[in-house]
Amino acid sequence: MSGVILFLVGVITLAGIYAILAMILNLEAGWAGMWDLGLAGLVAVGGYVFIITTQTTHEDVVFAPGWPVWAGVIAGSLAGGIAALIIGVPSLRVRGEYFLITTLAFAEVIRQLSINLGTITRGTVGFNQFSRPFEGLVSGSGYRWLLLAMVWLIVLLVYLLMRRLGHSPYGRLLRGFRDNDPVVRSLGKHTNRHRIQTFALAGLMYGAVAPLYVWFIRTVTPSLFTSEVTFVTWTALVIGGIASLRGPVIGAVILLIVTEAAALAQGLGEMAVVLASVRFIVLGLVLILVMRFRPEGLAKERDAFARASRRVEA
Amino acid sequence: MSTPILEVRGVTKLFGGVAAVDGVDMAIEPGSITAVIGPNGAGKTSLFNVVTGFEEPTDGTIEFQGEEVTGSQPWQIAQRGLVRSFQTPTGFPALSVWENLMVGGSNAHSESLWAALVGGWRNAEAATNERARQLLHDLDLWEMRDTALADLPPGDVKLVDFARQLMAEPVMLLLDEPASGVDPGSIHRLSALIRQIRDQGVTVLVIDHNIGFVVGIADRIHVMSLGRVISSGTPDEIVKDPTVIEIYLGRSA
Amino acid sequence: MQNIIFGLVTGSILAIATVGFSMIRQTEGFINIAHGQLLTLGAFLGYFFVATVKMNIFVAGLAAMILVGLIGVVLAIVVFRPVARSGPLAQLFTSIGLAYLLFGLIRVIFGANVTFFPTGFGTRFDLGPVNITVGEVLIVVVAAVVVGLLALFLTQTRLGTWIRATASNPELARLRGIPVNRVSYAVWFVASALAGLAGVMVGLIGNVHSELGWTQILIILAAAVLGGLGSIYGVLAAGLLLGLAMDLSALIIPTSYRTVVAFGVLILGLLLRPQGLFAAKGRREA
Repeated sequence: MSGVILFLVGVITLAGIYAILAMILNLEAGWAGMWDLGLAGLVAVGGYVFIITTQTTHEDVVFAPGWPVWAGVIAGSLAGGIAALIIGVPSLRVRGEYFLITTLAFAEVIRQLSINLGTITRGTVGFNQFSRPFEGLVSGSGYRWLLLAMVWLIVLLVYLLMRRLGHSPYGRLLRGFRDNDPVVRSLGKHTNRHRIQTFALAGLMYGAVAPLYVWFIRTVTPSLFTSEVTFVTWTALVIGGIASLRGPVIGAVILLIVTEAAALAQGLGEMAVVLASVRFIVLGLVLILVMRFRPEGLAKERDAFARASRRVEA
Repeated sequence: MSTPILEVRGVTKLFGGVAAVDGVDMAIEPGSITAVIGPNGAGKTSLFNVVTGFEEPTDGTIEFQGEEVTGSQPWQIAQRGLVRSFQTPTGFPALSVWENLMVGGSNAHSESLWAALVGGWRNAEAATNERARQLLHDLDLWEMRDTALADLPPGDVKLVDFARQLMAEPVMLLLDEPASGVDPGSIHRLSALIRQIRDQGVTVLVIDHNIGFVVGIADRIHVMSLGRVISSGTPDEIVKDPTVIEIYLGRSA
Repeated sequence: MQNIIFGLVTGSILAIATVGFSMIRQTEGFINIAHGQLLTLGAFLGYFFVATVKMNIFVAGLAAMILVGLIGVVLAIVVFRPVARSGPLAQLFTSIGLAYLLFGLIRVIFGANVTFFPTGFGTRFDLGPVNITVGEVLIVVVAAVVVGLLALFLTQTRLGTWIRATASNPELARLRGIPVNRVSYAVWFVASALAGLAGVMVGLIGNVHSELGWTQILIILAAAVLGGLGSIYGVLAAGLLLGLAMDLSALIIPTSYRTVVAFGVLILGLLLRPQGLFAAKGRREA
């Protein structure tokens, strides 16, 4: 029984991580209309910079300064932001689908680099022995609960931040030029600058939350940051309701519970592959069905912003 | 006669081999309501696009308030006070009427990321709020201020578009087919509104097909055909001009 | 040089796969991520027919092609038709969902292991200055023949002309009375069959595994964008170009960077010519 509980704790923790990723994606894609298919790359940059700057156990790398955790998080965050600027500035010149493909390409490039730059990243082996914050405070299996709490605390903080951004004139402007870029320009506003800022902010945030993912999985390898991360995040956002406020969180929780439930019977040797595949089947089915029957998702954008006019009256 | 607020000199715009705009000269008096009419394909919208920076002219110059703006970016021209509408008024469909107006009227400071993170935009927006509130009441849109634009009937969408442009506090307003799709009863209201903003000092340039509407509000009318201005004058002069009549009867589409 | 041959082979396969992808993009209006999975399906079916049913490789290839083509049409009706009116993004995400669904099903049915086509096409022989296998020659020849047949089909038959008309202007085609449903089925069949064929070819020269779809769709996307999304010849040229680039680059940098090279060429190409190499008229992108 306790095995099931521990398993559920893991699922809810992962759901929380994806909720955060989905909220960030919501900012850049749901509100600013930038269809980012390369967020896995930005998370990878943040994750790798974090682990490289903080880990002390592996000696066979070129660069291992062994910084404290908070410094590593900041470094990872900045790396994510810079990476976003590097891809963003040229990509935002190209419209619509090309941006999709450029970001996807970028994520793949990052993944290849992480495999090939072995002296920095330890290639496909990666990093698998590192300490996690507060580990000394709790017993082995108790750490799961601590991580769960940490992740969901961050979920709350990010949610509040997104709410603040969404309800501000800045958020309104983003949704404006998502809906109709020429009109916004005809009103005298410089849309490219806002888009780049938003994309860079997303990069900073992806980089900052990457450590959570690292602490959960407990290894850092290139296979951690495949396009699956990107597509699961997108699915979570789309199910939950793109451009709403609560949608990303709702979507992530539902999606993760549904897909991971299939793996509950883990431990049956030969079935392992089948079960892993079932996860993909369920993921695919859910996405297809949601697009078919409720493409706008569960939570609606209108509801998230319905009382905009009253927000100033108070 | 004061100096023209907008001067278009010899503007030509070629698309491939076709001249959408062919050597057009136009001078708009400040505080006037000027109309540009002509059959489909006459080049009216292309002229608008060139003037507002959405297209670059192949030849010619454009001066706004005495300064050259040829080839400037749309947002730069709009910042100088030259605001335009678009023929298909979709505005911001997912945003509410209120939000639509506020995007029109907000300034760069309150819309910055910094202001969003740090706060303080409420104060910066207070004046804009007032204007939006006033405008919504004037236009009888207050009740639907929280409705998403996509959920409104098309006539109201046009009105919201118009209101949004006014929120940008333009010096000159370019209206592209403001009367199309508006029911005859509301055209009356629209004309009154246009006259009202002219009285508040805004210069208006209108493109439209509806001759009755145009004749009712314009001080001066330019008639375009095949990229050229073929006739200019007061409404009285234009309706009697034989070349104009021929253009409208000769090509009935 | 040896690598040029490899490049031609890779390029031929890529061209075949991308032509189908591009056709869907043009006539149906969206990016179909599941195309990569159809390729994988073709590879596995080909393997199954050869290894288990013991068919002749040519028959197996043809059978796989036709089967994947039919599956493509069925998927189009069942999965894509219902969301056809919901816009390109809904269709894109539906295709991503389908890609995952197919990926999972392929893994369940065929397993997650890596297999090889048990054919005797690995024998190398010398053809002038280069060393080549029968399989490689076959691929390039078949690819050329298929492309030729496709070109004939599109230009000489009524259905083919309808397809071209719909690809350049769907609304006009509809107005002119072209039976859009029939065109749609035909396009799905042809595109999917081509993907299946490409899969068989991939299986012939390399190995067959369930991850094929994901790696292939990336370079297919690159080739499609580079080719200009609107022109068959552009896409073919782009496919060959990328194939050559990927294999020639192996001379200088590690082979694991192949996809990176493909994207590098794509980005370079887009910088020089943002509409793609051979952008056709009638592209309707903002």
